Amino acid sequence: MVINYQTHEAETTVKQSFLIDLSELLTIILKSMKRIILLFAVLFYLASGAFAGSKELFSIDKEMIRSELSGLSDLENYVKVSNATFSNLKSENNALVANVSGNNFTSLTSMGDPPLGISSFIWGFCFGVPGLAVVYIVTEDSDETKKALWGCVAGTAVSAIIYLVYVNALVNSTVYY
Amino acid sequence: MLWLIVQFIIKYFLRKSLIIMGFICLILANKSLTGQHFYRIESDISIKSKVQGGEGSLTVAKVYYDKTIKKLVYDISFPEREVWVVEDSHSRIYRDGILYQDETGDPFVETTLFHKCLDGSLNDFGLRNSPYQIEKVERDGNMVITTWNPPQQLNLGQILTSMVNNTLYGVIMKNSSGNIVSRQLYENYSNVGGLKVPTEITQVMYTPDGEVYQVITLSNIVINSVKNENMYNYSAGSH
Repeated sequence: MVINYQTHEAETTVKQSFLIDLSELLTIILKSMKRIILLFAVLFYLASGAFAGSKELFSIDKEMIRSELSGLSDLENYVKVSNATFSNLKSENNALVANVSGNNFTSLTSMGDPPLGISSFIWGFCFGVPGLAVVYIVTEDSDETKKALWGCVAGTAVSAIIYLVYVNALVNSTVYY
Repeated sequence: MLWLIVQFIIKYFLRKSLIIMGFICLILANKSLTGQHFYRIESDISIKSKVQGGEGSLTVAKVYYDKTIKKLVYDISFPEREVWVVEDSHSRIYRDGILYQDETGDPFVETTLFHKCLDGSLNDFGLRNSPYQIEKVERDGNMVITTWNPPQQLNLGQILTSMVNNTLYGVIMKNSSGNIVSRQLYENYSNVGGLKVPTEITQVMYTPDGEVYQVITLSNIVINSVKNENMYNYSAGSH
């Protein structure tokens, strides 16, 4: 009976020590979890801070642009109501056209520079139709677009020649067993 | 008993035919939804441009584009009344219905905003089918930003495109040194009969002479119009 009691006491002690170990282990895990969560939170904050710069790239000061183009907006409103042309307004010495050019899409064509400073011909030659699109959209200049068109034609012709040479080489190098 | 059998047979066939009818309706509805075809767009357009500290320019027009015949017509009312027709290899200018100027070159109407809107290729700015390669795609809030790298053999800069709500929002072009040379924003999308069209395009270009601002505004957009045939098929003396 004594032996049984001792055995029971020993079992209880083992159980208790196991529970203490378990609680200690849980405490350690929780502490580590806290650190991990904190670390992730810091990393997330840093990462979101880094991405915030990317979104900012796509912001334009529209108020400033609106203010710059306010004269043209007034002219637009007037023209839509009056149906007047530039020559009409110019002959009347209308103040709305005081600082306005009488050409279509002049602001971009007046720059005369191809997109990114790269020849429009190269845009068309290397990128084909998408290159042409870039030139057309960016410059709105028929001359630059024309150069890109010729580049596109030349690029297509060169590609066709290379393709024919390649096919010819393949045909000639065919080995019959 | 016989009547019960007849009733059962009638009910059976009725149920079966209803199910078949349901399937047919589903197929037809699906076909009509997926087969939605955008082939024409017309809109009022105004283009305001200004070089910083320099002269500005204004173009007011009505634009007509038919994707099936690839014909783009600008009925310009300002600065001067004239009609520009871009078709095949020709860019023609008409004044008072008389051909005033005719230039030839390769067709490029497929690269315009109107064509891209109709065929749904505006979202990637046409870069998916170009030699540019995607370097990375990142999300910042509601914006998905894609960085496109140019081919290594060419001394070009990166292009960044951003999308918000599955529509193109912005395009940034850089030079080979990594400096931004152009920013474009496509905003105020209008849903016209299921087609999303940006009604305001703002562009800033950074040049050695200063900044260049351009705002393109579209209004009164009509899709697949069967009116104004004379404008969609414009030719000398037709207006």
